[in-house]
Amino acid sequence: MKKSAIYVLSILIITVLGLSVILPGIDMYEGFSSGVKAGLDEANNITSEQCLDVPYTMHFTPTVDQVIHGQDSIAFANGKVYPVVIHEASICIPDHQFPQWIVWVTSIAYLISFVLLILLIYKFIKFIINIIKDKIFVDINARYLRHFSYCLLAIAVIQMGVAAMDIMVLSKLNLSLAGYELSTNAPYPWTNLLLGLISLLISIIWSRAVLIKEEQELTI
Amino acid sequence: MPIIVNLDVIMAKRKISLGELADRIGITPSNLSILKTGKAKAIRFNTLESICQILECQPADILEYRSEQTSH
Repeated sequence: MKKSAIYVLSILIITVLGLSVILPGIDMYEGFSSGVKAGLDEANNITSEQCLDVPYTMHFTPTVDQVIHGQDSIAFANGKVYPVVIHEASICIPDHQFPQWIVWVTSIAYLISFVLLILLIYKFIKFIINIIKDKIFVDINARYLRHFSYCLLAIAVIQMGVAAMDIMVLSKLNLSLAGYELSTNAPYPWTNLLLGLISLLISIIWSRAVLIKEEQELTI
Repeated sequence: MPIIVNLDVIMAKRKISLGELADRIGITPSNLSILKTGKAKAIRFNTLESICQILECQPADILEYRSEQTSH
């Protein structure tokens, strides 16, 4: 493969990585600031019927019967009524029914994940910069890859914990809806887990490649 | 490493400089220096052959095995 292809790919990866962080980051900032503003505005006027916490998002899987003979419908402003099938909804659970410690633990878990994500991106960018500088099979690159994979695996473990807590909350709330199966919104982080394990494997192979290169260089 | 390179001893006996030997073998002086100082991880047979031919010696004159216990 040509050297220019490595440069182009590296720059493409950094661009995609940047976009994948900046765009959700802007959304996160907007959501966070509007949430804080709304929270401060409504703090004194809140009733038990309103949302006290972040709404709990759940997935609704319709049964076959519900899809075929669905009775739910939605009326639009123009007066037309259409049948609907719910797939996802945010449920406002009153404060006294929702265990507060879960909110705190989830928030802290997401904050730790965010820090790990920044660290992961930093390590990956350093790795890519080394590749661009033509410092490819060096020990530091194997270390960057190893740290990258540790961060990914740690994020996956945290996400698994959050998913498990979500399942616990769901079972405690004992919610049900006719025609639907309810499930938690938190997905199991298979992608992160797989990517973390693959990058760990690549980092080990990279370390071997560095050793082979050193031996090659020191063969007279 | 228990393999000791005695190239410097043979070179001193034959009164040949590092640069000259490197030039006659056909490798760079820095590579020969790596070999001489024992930093090399391996040696090619054709390099060893050239060294033995130029210095008129046997491989055993250049390379010596010394166990870790004896070397300490």
